[in-house]
Amino acid sequence: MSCLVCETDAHGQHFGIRCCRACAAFFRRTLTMNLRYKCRFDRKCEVSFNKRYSCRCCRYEKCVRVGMRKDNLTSPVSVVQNKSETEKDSSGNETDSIGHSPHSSLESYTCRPPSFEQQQQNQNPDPPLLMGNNGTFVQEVASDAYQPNSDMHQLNFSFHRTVIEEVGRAVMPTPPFQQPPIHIPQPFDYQYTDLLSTDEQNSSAIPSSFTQYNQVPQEYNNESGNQNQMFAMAAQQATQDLHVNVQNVLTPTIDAMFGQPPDAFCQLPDIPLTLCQQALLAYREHNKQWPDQDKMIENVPLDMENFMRNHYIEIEHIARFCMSIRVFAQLPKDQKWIIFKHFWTRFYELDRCFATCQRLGYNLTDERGLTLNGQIINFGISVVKLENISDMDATQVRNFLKGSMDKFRLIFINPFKKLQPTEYELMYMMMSIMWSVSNLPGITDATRDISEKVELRLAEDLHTYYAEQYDNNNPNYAGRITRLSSIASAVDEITERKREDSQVSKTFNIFKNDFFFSDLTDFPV
Amino acid sequence: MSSPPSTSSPSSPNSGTNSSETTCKVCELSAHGVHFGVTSCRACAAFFRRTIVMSRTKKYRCRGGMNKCIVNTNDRYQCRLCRFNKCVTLGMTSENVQWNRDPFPEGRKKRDGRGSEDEVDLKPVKRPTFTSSMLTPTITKPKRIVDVTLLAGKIQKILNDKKIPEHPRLKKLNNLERLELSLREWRSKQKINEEMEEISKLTIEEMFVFCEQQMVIVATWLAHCPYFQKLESTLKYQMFKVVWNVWRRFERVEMSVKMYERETPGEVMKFAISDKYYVTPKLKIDISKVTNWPVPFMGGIFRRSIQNMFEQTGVPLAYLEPSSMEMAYMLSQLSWQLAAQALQGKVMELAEAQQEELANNLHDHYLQIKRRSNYAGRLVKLMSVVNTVKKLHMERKIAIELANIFDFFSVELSDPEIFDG
Repeated sequence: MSCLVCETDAHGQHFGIRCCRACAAFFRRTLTMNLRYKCRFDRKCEVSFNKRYSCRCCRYEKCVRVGMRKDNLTSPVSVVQNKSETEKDSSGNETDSIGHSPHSSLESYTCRPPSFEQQQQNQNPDPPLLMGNNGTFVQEVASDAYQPNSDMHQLNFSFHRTVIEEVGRAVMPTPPFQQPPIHIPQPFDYQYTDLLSTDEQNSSAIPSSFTQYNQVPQEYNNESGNQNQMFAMAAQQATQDLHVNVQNVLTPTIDAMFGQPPDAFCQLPDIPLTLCQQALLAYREHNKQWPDQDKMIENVPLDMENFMRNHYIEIEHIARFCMSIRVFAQLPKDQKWIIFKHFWTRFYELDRCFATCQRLGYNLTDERGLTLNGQIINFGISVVKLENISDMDATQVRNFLKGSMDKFRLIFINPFKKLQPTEYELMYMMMSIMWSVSNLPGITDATRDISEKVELRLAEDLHTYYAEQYDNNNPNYAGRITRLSSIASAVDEITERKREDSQVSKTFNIFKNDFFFSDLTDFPV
Repeated sequence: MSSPPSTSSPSSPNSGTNSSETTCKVCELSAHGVHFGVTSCRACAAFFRRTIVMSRTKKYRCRGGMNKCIVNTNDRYQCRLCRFNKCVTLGMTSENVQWNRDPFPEGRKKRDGRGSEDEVDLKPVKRPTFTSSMLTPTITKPKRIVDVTLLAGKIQKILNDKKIPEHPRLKKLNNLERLELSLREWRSKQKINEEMEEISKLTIEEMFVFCEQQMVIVATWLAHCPYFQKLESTLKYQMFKVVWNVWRRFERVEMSVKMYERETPGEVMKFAISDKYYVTPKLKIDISKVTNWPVPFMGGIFRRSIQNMFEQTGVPLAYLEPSSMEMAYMLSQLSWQLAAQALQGKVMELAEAQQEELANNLHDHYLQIKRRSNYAGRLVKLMSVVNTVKKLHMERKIAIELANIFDFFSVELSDPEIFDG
């Protein structure tokens, strides 16, 4: 446990042997600077504690004699490589010894002891005496030249040891300060992402870890981020309040509407009208509530929140449409609710498909749809704002709904476009769906009897329409009736598919609110 | 010059007692028992375990360079390679090393060489108890493979038979009349009510015989359709697989309603399972050969499909009394709509053309034969029945998918899709 060179306390392995840091530094300095020493005596000086600095030549020779090797030393130019190598070896001692040398070297050159000048003054009388000896002039001059250096190094080494220990103590707690430089680029990366973000990316919440670093470099960014968060929270709260308020207001409103007497909403002329004609008048009145449909706004991101708000308003309009049908208006209130919950989703699908075809044409490859406020949605490439509707991004939501959309197009939209039904035929499909109530739970026998009579009347009226009013007065309507029935059946099928999507979305919490309005439909709870 | 007096280096500390039972054989400090087979202190034991667990053997280098460093009281941390080699030489083995005890975090660098740290006594850590609860492996019977290649070949031969659509008696008939003729041929074999026999027990083999018989009938019926003949062979077989089972059930239900429900409304329903036999809801089917699940559980799933069809279409069919022509129309609409939805593409194009032509044929039939110009109500009801059958078919497909997911059947078919309907 002692230095093999100067017999003081050792500080671990250096250059292959156990020695103190002072001797290790001396050895490295000798090799690095290619120094050569001369012994003033006959190279037999004693190197030990308090004497290791008396003769550098003998000290170096003892280092070599006890086993110090040169192959462990690297040139000063490659100090960085040496550090990386030592880190790989995870050797603390080597790191310490290498880490000390720059500090000790710097300190030794800048801080000089006050007694240095005094020693120089004491040695001033010596040179004149040596000048007298002609025979040993050169040798004596050399010896005198080394004397002051030796004194300087004596004090320097003593100071060197203390400085090394202090610097070593100061270097140890540096790990905590090493972390800030690593994390500084983080907020800059975030800013870069922010600049390139799109509406879909904005829907994701800001990670809390970035907020911490976002505060450090620029206060302005922190303030802006906080404002964005406040706006998002306020909008989310507003959306939830809207949803709750609509549910609390819409159901009583419709319930009160269903409690009205039959003639409250039926503004029929004196001429007796068929059921489809009544529906036609009510449908045109319903279309007047959405005059913006003709605007056909395109290339604007769909605001899902606004879309859902219009959906709520539309549900009330559909209830008003139902109350305009005299047969429906005469039913008891509970029967009205059962039929309405089954009917309004199917009305919505038929109405949207008809409105879209009326304005955008009957091209099968056209994937666009028309919303109630006249906005055109391209279901393939449309950008949707979902920040307050879902925690997922728009791509995930689109993938979730893609299966339903494909089936929707296959069995409903494409047959609808191929058939190109008239407005009367649309009313026939709606009334046929409204009064196909035999299998609904809760339907009374009286309502079932009414529905059977209504269905008979519907078919008779359809025959009259084809025989007398349809284009070319074509009596061969078997094909059209077959396809109308298939389309009406397809509306049932896609509504069933929507029910399944509603259940899946509730299971996996895809949407924050009741995206499928299942409270107001006949979806089972 | 006179040199200052020299002082001796500090003496090494006392190494303690030299008893072999209480001295670490590696570093000669006080031992704390036997670790890994050698009497050692906790520091050397931890060093050995750490070396094994973190696989540091190859990373150690002899700092003296000659693999002969002295490992003793104050110098055990001078060279880790020599210390580890001494542990191994003295007999430490890695068999008892606990790999998940005191786990080291990744990226953490252990700093060696601190004497004060090594001398701290490590408190013994309580051993974690492992509760291993393995699931008992389920020994399942190997699935039998039923080869239906012969049946598939027979079906495809009928589907691709050129003689069927070119029969002389079909020349003057239109599309709908051809289908009606084929349907009537099969139905004319039906025995009258008094001659029918009841089956109260049925095995899977017998059920399979009935299905095979009716597959031939459906294939023949499809081959009578001119638009079906425009499909290529592969699409023909695929359409057959989609269609045959729902065709069979609907046709048999309608026949049963025709034979029994009009005479005895409200009584126990009878199902004409073939041209000679009928069954009742009390039928017992032995399905033990095709499933490992309990029989009542399995029977309840698929028995409902026939009963549902009876309940939802029996009353309209009894009221409508569809003619043979109307029944052919309904079967054609049902078949082509399901095939178009399942296969799309070429089948969808032909399905639209087929439906258009059949509708025209039906219109002509109503005008000329039935003398009925206002057939809208009747057609609406017929299509309502077709839509109901289609909906029930979709529900049944879902049940079959669930049965396949939960591995109900212990039998595999060489052609799995043939019974998916």
